[in-house]
Amino acid sequence: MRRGRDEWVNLSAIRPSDIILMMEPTPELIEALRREEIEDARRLSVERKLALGGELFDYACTITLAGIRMQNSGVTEEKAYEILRQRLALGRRLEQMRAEMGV
Amino acid sequence: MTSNEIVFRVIEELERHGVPYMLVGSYSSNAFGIARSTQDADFVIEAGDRSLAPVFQALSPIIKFDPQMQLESVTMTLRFIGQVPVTGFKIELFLTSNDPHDQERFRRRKRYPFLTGHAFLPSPEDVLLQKMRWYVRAKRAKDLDDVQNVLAVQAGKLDLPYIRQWADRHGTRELFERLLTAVQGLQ
Repeated sequence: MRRGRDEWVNLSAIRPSDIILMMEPTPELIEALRREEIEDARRLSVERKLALGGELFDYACTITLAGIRMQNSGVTEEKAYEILRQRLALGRRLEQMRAEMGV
Repeated sequence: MTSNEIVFRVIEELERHGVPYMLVGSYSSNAFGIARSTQDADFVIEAGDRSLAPVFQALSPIIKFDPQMQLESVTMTLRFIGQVPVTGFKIELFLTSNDPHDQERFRRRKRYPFLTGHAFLPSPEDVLLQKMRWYVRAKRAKDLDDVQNVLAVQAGKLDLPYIRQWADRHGTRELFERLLTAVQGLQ
């Protein structure tokens, strides 16, 4: 692995803690990702974005239900949806708690 | 039935019963900002003296509405709450209040395409103003994120004098200028 112009690094000498340091996002990277996110949003029409919130919610429910079924083998559909509703209600309470804590 | 199809059914029934409305909250901030998942759809409706019972009745196979009106403590407005029994997706119908900005944003609402029909939305400026009011009162981080996202995506297209005039009246001007400066640094 080449680090600089003439400096070579022995890959086997890299420790997990080094990788974590290398993956620390720089302010430049964060800003570049934010710009990209904004540009992507500008390219989408109002009509498309108006529908996205509901689509993302439905998709999140599908993934959460899959997780609930994996964690609770043999769970009925009715029970799986009941757990889903409990999780969504928990999410609302957590949001309220964060608002009250000012975070 | 998808969450969007449920929202669309609400719009169809409001229109069929002659109830003027606009879709606010995260649906409107998604439309003008950066979309995020939302587990509720908020409407502002101008019910006047009409009973909403026929609307609730028509929607009863998919949404269970509490016929009892509730006071929303952040904006001190009255609302009806409905819930989709399967997923818990919420529909909230806020009644228009006497608040001058509430009246103005309703007057300025515009029609946009939605699924196979359309939906009325407040202007991006009014979305910002209302979200800032919510943030100042309720301190929900997502409201601040929504404001920053709408500001960033709509940069250069917003009617800033209109926003400043109302932000002065709402006591959110300082917050607005701070967020605007931060977002301008990204352009």
